[in-house]
Amino acid sequence: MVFTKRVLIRRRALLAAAVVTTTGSVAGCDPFGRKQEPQWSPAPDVLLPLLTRTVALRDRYAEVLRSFPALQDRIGPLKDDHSQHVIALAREIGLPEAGPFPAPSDSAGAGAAPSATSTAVPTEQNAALSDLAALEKAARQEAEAACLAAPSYRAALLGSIAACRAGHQEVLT
Amino acid sequence: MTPADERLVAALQAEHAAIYGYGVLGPKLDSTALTQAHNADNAHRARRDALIVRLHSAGVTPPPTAASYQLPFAVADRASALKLAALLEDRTAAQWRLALPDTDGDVRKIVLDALVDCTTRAVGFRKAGGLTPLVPTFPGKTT
Repeated sequence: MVFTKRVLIRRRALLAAAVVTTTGSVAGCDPFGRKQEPQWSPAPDVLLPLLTRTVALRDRYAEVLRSFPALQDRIGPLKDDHSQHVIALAREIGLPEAGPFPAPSDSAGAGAAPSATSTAVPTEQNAALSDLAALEKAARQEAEAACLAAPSYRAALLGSIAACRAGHQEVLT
Repeated sequence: MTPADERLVAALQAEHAAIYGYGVLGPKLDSTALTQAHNADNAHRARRDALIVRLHSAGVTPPPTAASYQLPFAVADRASALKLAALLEDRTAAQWRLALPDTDGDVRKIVLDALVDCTTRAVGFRKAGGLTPLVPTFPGKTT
């Protein structure tokens, strides 16, 4: 029942988006009267930027672990949480769990949070951990904003992701 | 009663139970862990009071606290006290999480803040008690 409702809502959203993006090729003809295939490009899901940055955060943990393998016990489980969040978000959006994921367009909010992979991993372990804590804080705030803006059927998932990230901050500090 | 109010009533009942639990486990703790439990207890009391006011103003009679609550295990020492504290936070988090889909706007913000706070405190108690995993992958999710 719930699933059916979700699918319907998603389908409706995709249809609405498709209608918007196909204007200009009304009736499949260009100004010179040549027949044209309609260009279907549904608007990207609003959760796509969140998914992309969750992937970046997971990968940042992998990078830190390559530099500091001794941190495995402490931060390995946190990386695994992010991996599970990637899977859950991909499912929610309707993308394959293992990717590849389309890059979000700028208008979809890319760059609103600090990119997890834009800087090198600090050479000192404590600095690397503080760096992760700062990324988790930004990531938590992003998930909270997404939860507050989300339709009913996505609120619990996004709330849990935000709470998990808050828990990670507690582990890292 | 609206679905949102029903969820808030359930959250209030979880808050009542948590406050009762802290009364039981507090005496088994000392120093830092006691401070942690004391702060947690205060946070739950503040949430309980805010919920009671909110429900009253919505025309809903808030359920009173019970005289006692069945605890899942006996609290004999520091270790079991910290384990119970983490469990109380997890259970309260679960009730708040259930309220997310039925709320929106300012009320959803209140609900989300509560879920985040309970999760953070649960992690703090597991850290103190050496309990793993420290963080649930999907805090508040019970199925």
